[in-house]
Amino acid sequence: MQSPRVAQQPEARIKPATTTPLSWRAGLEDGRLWRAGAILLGGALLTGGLRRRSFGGLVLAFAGEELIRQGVSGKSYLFQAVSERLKPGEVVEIASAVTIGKSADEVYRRWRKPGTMQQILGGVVTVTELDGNRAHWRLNGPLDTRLEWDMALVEDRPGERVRWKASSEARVPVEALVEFRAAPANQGTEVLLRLTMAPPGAAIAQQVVKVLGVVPSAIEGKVLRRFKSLVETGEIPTTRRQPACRGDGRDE
Amino acid sequence: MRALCWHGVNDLRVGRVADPEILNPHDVILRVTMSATCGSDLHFIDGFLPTMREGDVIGHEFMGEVVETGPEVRKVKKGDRVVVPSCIACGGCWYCEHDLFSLCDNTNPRWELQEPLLGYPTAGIFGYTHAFGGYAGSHAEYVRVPFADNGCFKVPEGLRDDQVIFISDAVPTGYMGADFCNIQPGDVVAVWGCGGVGLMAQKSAFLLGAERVIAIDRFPERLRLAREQIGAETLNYEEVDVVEALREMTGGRGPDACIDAVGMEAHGTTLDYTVDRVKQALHVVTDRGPALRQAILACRKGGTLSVLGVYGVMDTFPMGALMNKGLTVRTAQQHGHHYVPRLLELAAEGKLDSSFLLTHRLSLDEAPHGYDLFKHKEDGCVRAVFVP
Repeated sequence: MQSPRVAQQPEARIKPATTTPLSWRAGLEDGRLWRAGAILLGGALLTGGLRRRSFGGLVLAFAGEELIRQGVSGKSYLFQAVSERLKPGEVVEIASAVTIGKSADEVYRRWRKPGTMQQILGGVVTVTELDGNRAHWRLNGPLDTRLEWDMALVEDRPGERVRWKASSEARVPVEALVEFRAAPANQGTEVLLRLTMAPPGAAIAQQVVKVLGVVPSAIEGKVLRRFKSLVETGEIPTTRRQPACRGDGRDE
Repeated sequence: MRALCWHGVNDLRVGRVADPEILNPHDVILRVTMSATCGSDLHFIDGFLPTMREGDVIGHEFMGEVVETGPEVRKVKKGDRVVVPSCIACGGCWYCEHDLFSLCDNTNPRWELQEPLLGYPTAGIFGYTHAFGGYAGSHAEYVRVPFADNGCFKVPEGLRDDQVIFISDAVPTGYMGADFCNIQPGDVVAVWGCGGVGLMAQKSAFLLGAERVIAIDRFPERLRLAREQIGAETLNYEEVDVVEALREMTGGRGPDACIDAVGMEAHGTTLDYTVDRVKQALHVVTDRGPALRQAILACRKGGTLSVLGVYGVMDTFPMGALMNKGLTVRTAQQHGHHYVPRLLELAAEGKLDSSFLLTHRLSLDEAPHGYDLFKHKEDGCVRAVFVP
């Protein structure tokens, strides 16, 4: 589903880490203790995340993977991002596509229907529709990371494209573009989702980019696949709460 | 309820789990009346197919009685006696509309586990690893069936459970394998494997007009079933060179179509098997390929290779022979929904009786023992079936 137009993962866009120790890590021998801790914590997050078998678990797993990488390499994109400014104008862009067997108008209507986004992202993101053109997003990331921001509708061409942009005061400079095109031979509609994140200088926002930056492709894929199933079948496939010989005899 | 759960490599136990619930509007709950062992279960039991979790309920070949229906279920009713294909298909996506049900776009909630390996995710399968959706399986008292209107097929009056159970998986898989061969009058079809799927592929090849069917295996009792129940000619690959024997039996041409009903845990007698076995033991590779390689070498020029055996990341097979001989390759997990109605008709008409595959009938509590018998082909076991 990852579009070939995307040449690089977001990590690749972020400058390599410096070795400048951050103040709170100073005093730990070359950060070795911290690194060991990062590996342990990362491992726990990764396995715990994979065990959770949920979208939130996926986010946890990605975060764990990032922590392990930091522990092994001694480089932390996250902390480096906090301590350093990215070049102005450096942009992370991710795109993916899915084909849905319905008309562009129908697919567009479903996309714009209040509640659709919440249904698709349930668990990891809470979307509160403020009115037809504004929505409040809350992302519950790993390690109690919580991000909140408002998204505003900046372009709306029924059956063709919808563009949302984080409001100017949001600390998450993200833009989402959804395009609808007729697929060949009456196969329905090609839906293209493009997320653009422009990291500003503010340290906190950089952290946000990192938290988002390890998962946007997964988020995108999930959003589009779940949306497709919802439109084509009226339901999103799930195994939540099914019987299993674990915990209290069922999955959470 | 009681259910057979996977707890690790070669570690199956019956345990208590929660009863299944309706989770989506097109779901039903079945009370399982029969659930069968299948050779493809052995791949994750032996630890060669990844993405199992401790505590997973397994089993994917089953039938039962509908006890609860979701709000959007239209065709299936409480009390219906139904048989269910092992792949879960929505019935509405492009793939389902083109009868490619095991490639359904909308039934795998864990697509992200499959995409890196396959490029695109496939349909979910009951009780068959998280890469295939992680759905709880049928070796249990009850099972949840998503998209029931599409996946539950009513059993015609007058058929016993043992005549129906294999129409869930072994029969449609075998029939599809023969259907892939585009059988013409006079065709000779060779089938590697005389387990449930292999025997059904042989039977189906005759039903679809094959002149001769040649069955290949190493277990005398299974070869005897192929001769006596199907009317196939047989080759024991431990006694003869299969490729040479097939050439001789077909006037030097080779079989018109070759069906691999063995898959990734094939056994062999030649060096390539030994090499694969060592690699697999070291987990350098996940798949062993002697049956597939033989089928490619034995097939006549311009013939058809039909692959039913399950493979993981198999990538060592004679591409040169495949390409230079101009073979056609057809393969898939079973598109059961396409075949089951016809197979139930054939069964009702008495033209297809698969009940002879059922060699061992056990209670659910005896399921771990049933898998032992089945895996080691002890006591003439072809298929063990559990009655919860």
